[in-house]
Amino acid sequence: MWAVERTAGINMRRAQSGMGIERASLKTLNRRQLLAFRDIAPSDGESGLETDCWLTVSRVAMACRFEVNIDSRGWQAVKAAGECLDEVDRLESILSIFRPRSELSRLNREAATRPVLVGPELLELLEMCKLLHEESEGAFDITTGSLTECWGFQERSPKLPATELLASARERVGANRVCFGTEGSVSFKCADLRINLGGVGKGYALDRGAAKISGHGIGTALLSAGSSSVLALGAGPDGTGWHVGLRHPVLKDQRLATVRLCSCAMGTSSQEEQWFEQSGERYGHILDPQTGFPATRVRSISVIADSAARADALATAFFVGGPELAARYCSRHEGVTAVMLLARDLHHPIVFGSSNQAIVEVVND
Amino acid sequence: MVLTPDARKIGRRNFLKAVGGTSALAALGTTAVVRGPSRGGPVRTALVGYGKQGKLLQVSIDPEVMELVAICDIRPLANAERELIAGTNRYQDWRHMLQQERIEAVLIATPLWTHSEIAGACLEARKHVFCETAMAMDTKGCLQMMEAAKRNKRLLAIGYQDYYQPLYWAAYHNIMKQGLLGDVYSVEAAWHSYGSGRLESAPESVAFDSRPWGYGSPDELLNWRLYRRYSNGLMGESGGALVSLTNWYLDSVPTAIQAAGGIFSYHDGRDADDHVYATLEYPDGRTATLSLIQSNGFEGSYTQFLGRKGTLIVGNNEALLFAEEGTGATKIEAAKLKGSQPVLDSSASRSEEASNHSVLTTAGSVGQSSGMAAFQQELDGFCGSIRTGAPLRSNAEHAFNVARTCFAADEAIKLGTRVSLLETAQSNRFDVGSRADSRDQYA
Repeated sequence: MWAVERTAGINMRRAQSGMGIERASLKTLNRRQLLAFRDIAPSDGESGLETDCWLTVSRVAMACRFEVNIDSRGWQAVKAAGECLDEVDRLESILSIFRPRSELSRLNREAATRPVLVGPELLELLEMCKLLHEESEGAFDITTGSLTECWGFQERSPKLPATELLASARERVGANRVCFGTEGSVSFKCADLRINLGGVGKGYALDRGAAKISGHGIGTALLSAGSSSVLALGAGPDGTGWHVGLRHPVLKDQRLATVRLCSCAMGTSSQEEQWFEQSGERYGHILDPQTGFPATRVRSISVIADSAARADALATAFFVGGPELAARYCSRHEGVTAVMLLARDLHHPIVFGSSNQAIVEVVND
Repeated sequence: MVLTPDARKIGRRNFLKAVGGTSALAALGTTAVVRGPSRGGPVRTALVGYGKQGKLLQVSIDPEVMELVAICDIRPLANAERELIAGTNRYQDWRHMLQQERIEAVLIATPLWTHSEIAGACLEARKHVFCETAMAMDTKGCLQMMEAAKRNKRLLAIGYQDYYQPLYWAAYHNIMKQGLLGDVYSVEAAWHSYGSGRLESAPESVAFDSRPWGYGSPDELLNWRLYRRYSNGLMGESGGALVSLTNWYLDSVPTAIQAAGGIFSYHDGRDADDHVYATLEYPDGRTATLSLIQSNGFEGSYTQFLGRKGTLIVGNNEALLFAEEGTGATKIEAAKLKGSQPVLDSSASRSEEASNHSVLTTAGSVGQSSGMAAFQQELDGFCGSIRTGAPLRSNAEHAFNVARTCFAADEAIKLGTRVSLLETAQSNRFDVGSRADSRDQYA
């Protein structure tokens, strides 16, 4: 029915041995060392640190850990990573539904009664989400906020909703009810519609943060958000791509696959971190906008695409739409690759599509 | 420090997450020291001073670890008080009690000016001593107590009960020691209350002749905190607790102090200040400001540690933790490139909160904690140290450092100048009275 590929993307140079960052050797630099590092570093890009030393700069934002892996040899590495993380913080203040003063919270409060002017970032993201909604045949939908609230996942206290509450929440879902006016205004055609950018916000923040790093003339870095969103800037330390593992969602000490990413991004969706059990049934947090219930057929999906926002959104879409949607989409969109593990077969991940920017190596047991 | 209910809720939740590790639970196990079969059984103890503080000690005694055999107070006791001490030997003069009773330890809850004499005599009589705060009226009194403890190899505990507050203990070990606040340069502490603090004498006390016992009148005995001949005033009685907590959490002692104060609100014959403000200088650019007032109780009592990464507020029987937004939360690590392992593993999005801290299911008992729990813990800890030789938490050296700071604040107010504490810091170091001599235990 769909092609099972062992590898995808044959144009990238094969991995050389000796690459990768040994996490066990991590050491923390204290502030004095960092300041000394910044002060003594000449402006031509060489710092006093060892030449094979990479830095991991991290900060908690959007309820997860954002990381920037970056070459220490450029004296501006820490500054660039800091600016990247500052950008993430800034976007969180715009896109978060947990901050009453964010642009998105204001939009959710007011757009059903009048058109609301939004800033360029939110507008860009909303327009991208509309496109992805159409491309994904409705499987990706940012207007499922009322469903997420109804199931209690938003407050991290999930429960099976009452039938009438769920029916009411479903009536308030629909990406086609979000209207774009002239000069950057947005309105809702439905009262109590709630946009939640949880499926795409982290990826978008990585995209914007990566632009800050590129702005410093830094050619390669690996950015991640909460392990689920990864953005590879450039081709990694040795030019063969950034080496990233795909953790098995159930057998946690095993990998489903390893990938090498070059100037592309990867988003992973699974319900292993957010779920609850009631009357013997397991309910995850990724909801099907059509049924209002958690999607169940897919156990884990990783999507490689040209941007982190797109990769994140497609991961959600394919989780809901299943292998049929993934196959259709990847066949129509060059450069999009998906690694899917179905709930009925936890031992054989399926790869869809191919990319010139990534190599996927499935780990067979 | 004005917090909205929501901010308070967030702070408490943050604190509970931060102390949710197992080390917090381990840190709460004070009583484990004395639980189970202990050599010698309950510590035979007498209580000197049966006022408000003495009664709190009495009701906090766990009979499994301490046996209260005698109570001593110079006042004639009211009928209700006599009922409370039924079955316990009653004395008016502590000297008489010391001669008569076969006891191992004495709890002292008398006015400050008597601490040095009573504690010194009890230690010389080879009794372990638990003395309520503050330690003594002056440096000489403190030193006499410490020397007596050393000479007689007996424990001298001073009841800074914050050391025994499960909440404060958890905050120290899981937040301060773990560096969650980052560098702390500023501490703000407040003891704010509304009211004169003056108590009304009970009818049976009015006829009591207190002069043979050194008090000009029964009222002076009852309100001894308001008179400098019996107490060290607001700084000594209330400020000491704030200094104690700050010294402990900063793992340091002040090097200099500036202070101001006076009697501004209650011109009722007292000679102890009703408002005191002090600035304490600690090494490495750290500063604590103390505010002790009796004209406004809006903020209650609290100490807040302002770090580069976060703020910890302890006081009013709760602890709150806030992240310092936009700064300090960035972590930087360095890694060498080697091997062929992936740089990272991708998986479902993980919450930073969930990955860092496990939520403590019995958190309610840690996040908020009553003062009574601390009384019980400190008496249990005192007995535990007597029986096992375990070091005291609130020992004489710590109390002496607090007392020195309070004395210096007084001096700074009197002289209107900055007072250095460096001259006496080294010469007055004592390591005595904090550990029982295991060779000389009661069997």
